Amino acid sequence: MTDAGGIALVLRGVGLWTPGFADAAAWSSRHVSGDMPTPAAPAAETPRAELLPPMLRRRTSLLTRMAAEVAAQAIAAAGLDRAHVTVIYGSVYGEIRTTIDLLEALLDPAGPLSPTKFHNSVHNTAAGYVSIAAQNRGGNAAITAGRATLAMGLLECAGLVAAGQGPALFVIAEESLPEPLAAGRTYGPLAAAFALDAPGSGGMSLRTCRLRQGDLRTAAPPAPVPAGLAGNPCAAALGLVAAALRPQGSVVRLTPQLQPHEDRGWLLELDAMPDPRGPA
Amino acid sequence: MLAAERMRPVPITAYSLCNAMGMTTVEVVEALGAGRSGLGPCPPEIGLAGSATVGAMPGPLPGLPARLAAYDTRLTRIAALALDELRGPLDRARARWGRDRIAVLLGTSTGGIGESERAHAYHHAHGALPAGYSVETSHALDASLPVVCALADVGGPAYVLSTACSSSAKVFAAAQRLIHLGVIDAALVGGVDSLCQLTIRGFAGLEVLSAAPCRPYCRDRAGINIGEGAALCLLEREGEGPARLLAVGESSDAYHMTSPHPEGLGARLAMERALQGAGLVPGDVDHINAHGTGTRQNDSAEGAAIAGLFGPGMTVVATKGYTGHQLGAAGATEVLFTVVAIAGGFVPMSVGAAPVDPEINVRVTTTREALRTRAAISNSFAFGGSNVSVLVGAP
Repeated sequence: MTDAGGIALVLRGVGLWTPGFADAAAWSSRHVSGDMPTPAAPAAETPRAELLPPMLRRRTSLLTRMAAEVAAQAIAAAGLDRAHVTVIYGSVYGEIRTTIDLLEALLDPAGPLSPTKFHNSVHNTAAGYVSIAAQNRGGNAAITAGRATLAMGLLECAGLVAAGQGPALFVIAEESLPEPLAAGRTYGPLAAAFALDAPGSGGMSLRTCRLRQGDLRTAAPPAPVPAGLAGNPCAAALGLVAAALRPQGSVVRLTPQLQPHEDRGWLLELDAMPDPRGPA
Repeated sequence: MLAAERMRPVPITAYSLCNAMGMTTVEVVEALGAGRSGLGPCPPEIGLAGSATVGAMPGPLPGLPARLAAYDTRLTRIAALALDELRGPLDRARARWGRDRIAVLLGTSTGGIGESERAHAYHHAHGALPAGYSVETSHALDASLPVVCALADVGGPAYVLSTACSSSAKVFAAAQRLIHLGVIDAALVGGVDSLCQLTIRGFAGLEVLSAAPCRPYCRDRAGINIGEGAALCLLEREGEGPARLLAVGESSDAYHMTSPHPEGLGARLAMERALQGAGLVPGDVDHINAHGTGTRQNDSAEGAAIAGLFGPGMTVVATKGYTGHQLGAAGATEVLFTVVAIAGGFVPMSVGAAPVDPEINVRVTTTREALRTRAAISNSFAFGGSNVSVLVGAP
């Protein structure tokens, strides 16, 4: 399963939502190599998130709606069964906007805390709601590793795939950080999803890939992202979606190079897409 | 879901515990054997206006080394306290496997939210955040990773799983899979949570907080107490230790965000999957460390699931009467209580359980019992219907 070449996987499908880009194809088509992607339409306020029941959709956070939206996109793109795929949810600050509401309520020493907001503040909120909506009784998890969340989430999925638990879906989502805790950090929300499976598992497949550690300088420079998203701690996922939909192979940085002397990090090496006309 | 591959058992070669029962593993293990609860009043530094029964750390928490000062929180201090006891085993593991082949996989539900409570209140009063507060290093769920990785001096994959009250049970599954995958040879796994207003008042809002010490599986149980602490252990591809991680079963209720499935369907699925993963049958399991929070609903649903799968005579211990519900640290704490029980040839007394609820069809320990355990399950269930059953076996 794993050797010096990395962990071999199949990428079966992707999903994406960020304001102005309703899905992965919209992002990818506006993301000509080296150019800054530009929204084709005015920024949408909220994703459709049709996986969630309408009542719930209105009550949940943008984070949970984004997660449900990109999960559904990747499940459809990969031809997976939403009741039986294991989903791992990654986020750095999770349900931070709901958390801030609770911090505000705590200022009143005798005030009650909303039970709904309380249970909607946990890191696995989207995991809970999506499992209920999809009637999925498999395991799931919510992960964070700071700026390495994309890499560690894909690694967690690789572990699931290697354990023979079938395809695994990694959903990464990050809301903007509210004040006062943000202390000036401003960035827009984004979410992306990646459906992974074992090599030779059959079914729909985008391409083969390998997850490995290596010299970050061997990877393509990080793909340009709109200024409003650059500070998002999960922004690396945008570059991976763009690379995943390009036919050419590439090596994508999953972790940022935080210091000039720290060259080692996690990479995803994407093979070229199989030629639809078959071998020449 | 496909039938999961059978993964090799993983030796648990060293462990460390600190919580309301004691500041050191020796103190905690001694209290568990003696049936001595650590529950008491909420310490003033948590900032709670009213009173609450909690499982608070029983002594002052040493600060972090100066180089890690940016990460100094109640949570990271508790983690560092537990980690300090594992220096020897970590040195040995590092020499054997190499520092980059050892992962750090932690579960937490609170992270540094207590710091954010104080920072937010300070901002409300002064119009600025307090010096030293940063959302990245004080608040974030992953802020414990740089501290634990630095103090343990390991450089393998590092991440936090946060699925509320099953967080630090999940990390055992992740570690076993990563060892199976071959990317690591060892993992420092566990959980850490610290007391804060948000969880105490949040559970009060859900009307499941007990003012008195909690009494899991008792006829008269009236809710939970919140606790804090850390539980860390070293899992290695090969090695000698007091117990082995056999398999982990995970499931979702797919039923409700906070209420368990009334017949414990998801709980049963998790226990069945743990058995399946290890190739065991219910008769191979000698006792169960229940999730046992002390709410009427949770204990009834779990008891029904255990009785349904194992039959009415299964020996069950519930240990939250010792520690309170440590939320993100509860899973690993109770896995390690199970290790202590296996190594010590006993099942602890379930503090506060007598008189046991006659409507729950399992055999709950009300005294310490001698028992040679071949295999035992530790259950952890959480918001979102997240269920984890960790199956631990004798070495």
